[in-house]
Amino acid sequence: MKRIVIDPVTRIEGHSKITIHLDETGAVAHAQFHVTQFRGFEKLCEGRPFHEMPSLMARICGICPVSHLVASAKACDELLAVRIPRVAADLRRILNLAQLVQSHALSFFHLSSPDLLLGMDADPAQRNLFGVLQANPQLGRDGIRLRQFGQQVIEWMAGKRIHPAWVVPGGVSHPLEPEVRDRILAAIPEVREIALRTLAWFKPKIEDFRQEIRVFANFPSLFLGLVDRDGRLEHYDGQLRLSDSAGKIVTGALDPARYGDYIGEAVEPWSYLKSAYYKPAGYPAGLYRVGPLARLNLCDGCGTPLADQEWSEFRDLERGAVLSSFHYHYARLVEVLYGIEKIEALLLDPEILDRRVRAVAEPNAAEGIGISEAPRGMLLHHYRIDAQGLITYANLIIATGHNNLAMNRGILQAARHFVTDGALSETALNRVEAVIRAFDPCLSCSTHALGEMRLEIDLLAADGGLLDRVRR
Amino acid sequence: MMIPNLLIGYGNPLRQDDGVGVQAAYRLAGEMSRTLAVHQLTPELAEAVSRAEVVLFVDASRSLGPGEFEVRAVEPSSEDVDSHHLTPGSLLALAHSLYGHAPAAFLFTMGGSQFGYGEELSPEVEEALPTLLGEIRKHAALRPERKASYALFG
Repeated sequence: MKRIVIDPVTRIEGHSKITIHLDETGAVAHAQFHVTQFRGFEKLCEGRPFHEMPSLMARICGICPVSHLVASAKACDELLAVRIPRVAADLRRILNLAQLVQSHALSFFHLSSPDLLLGMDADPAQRNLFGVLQANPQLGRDGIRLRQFGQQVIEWMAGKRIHPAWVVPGGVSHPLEPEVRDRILAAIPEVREIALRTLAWFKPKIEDFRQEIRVFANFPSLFLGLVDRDGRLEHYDGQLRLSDSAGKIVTGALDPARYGDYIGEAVEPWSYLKSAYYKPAGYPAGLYRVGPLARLNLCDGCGTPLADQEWSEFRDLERGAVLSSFHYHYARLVEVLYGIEKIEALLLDPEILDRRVRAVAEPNAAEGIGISEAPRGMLLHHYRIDAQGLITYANLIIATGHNNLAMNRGILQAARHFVTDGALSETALNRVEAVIRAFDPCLSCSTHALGEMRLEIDLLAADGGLLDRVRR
Repeated sequence: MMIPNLLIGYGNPLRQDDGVGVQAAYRLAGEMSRTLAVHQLTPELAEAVSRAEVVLFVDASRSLGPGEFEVRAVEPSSEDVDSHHLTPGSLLALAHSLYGHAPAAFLFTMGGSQFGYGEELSPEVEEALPTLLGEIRKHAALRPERKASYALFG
């Protein structure tokens, strides 16, 4: 058995490496995606007062702190046993969507556009942000503007763009001011135009990536995510739905409180990232995907006019569910458009300025579970508290963990296609990395760990000897 | 609209002296045309940078002695490109590429002694900070043609 190591994986959030094992004939036998960082947030929050949890949990990540804020606050709402004011839920929803826009913009424009604009085989020295700016300055400016918009909305509403403390157990700490609403609304036409322009640019380019579409984690799987009461796209609250590769609903309205009945978390010795799976199907057969691709596959529509048009076109890519993970990029753009439209619709509701935005209570339950959709997929926070309101147990299931099995299988699929002659060419290296990048994993979140994203790929011989190692 | 100066202090304010840039931004907030306190330099800052006549970057350093600081002029540079964080030079290059203007810029770095968990600066850095702020004030008033080259203090 031979081995190829890619270390570290680049242009993703966190530290990881990839090992590709070759058999005696030099063919790819299997591949592993190792997440090499560890933080242990679940343990270190034990003993903390429950009301600290939203702010504490937001520190898991600098890219999607709002998702942790929201899921954590929802778990705390359950500990209080309160139903929060509708406007508070909508304000949290807007904040979550603003983060979705900025995070998707980071993934698409900053991390993946060098591949998408310049091509997977472009000179690596040029395949970066400056290469994009030279080739298409408008695309560069658009990416920056979209990210800026998402961050500004978070800052204007919640006080600061990273780790805001506005979302609290029971709602939000203060109501929306009219001038903030008006400022956000004034920016909507420009960012909506950017989203539409980017979709118009990207859709014709998809044809250039037929090979990647075919082998970038393109296989049947289950898809898990939230939908609203009418089955439409939803990121803040709603019902958990599981659908299959034919696009059919496997289970509707899964009860979050019973997630332990249907979500298992397997631990492998070669990674700090746990592998979530659908329990009734067993491990690892219960592989499922989450995130933008999953959400667009399992919903019955978006519920906003422009995104609905794009969603229909997206779903026309295949007869059943869209299976290639390359299309995560496309799905991200549709969700950006949806996020902008939805923020506008929520802000145009006059009640959004209502001053009643927080339910105040003492803890009234010993256990709480909060679920929301982070940019990368479904996020679950589960806490238990003692009589003093101190955390005795915390469990977090993060989007990247849900996708771990799919990422591993996707690497294997791409490696089998691109790795030849027992060596790792630049062509193969970038494509194996790009499979991971399509999922936009956040390893800080998924291991609740801190660190920069680096990549390492190992190519191992049949006897376990290291044939090739590539570091970025 | 162009502004006379922009101060960007960056670092982690929860890691003691690493937050000296952020502290500088807080303390000079009322004196500069605009101040930004950030964890790291990201591409989104390019627009703000392009709208200033002079940009003052303030960062911590592990290589300088505690309380020692240096100032150097920064030129646009497209090297050291990373999608998550940029150097002052690459941020200037980005500002020029995207918005057509790379302002004159200075990077102030101050050596620290304590980089553990905490929001307090070390006594050495706290003591030297007023001198650093004084130098930043002087450079904020410089016009683009009066670029300084390099100076070491402390």
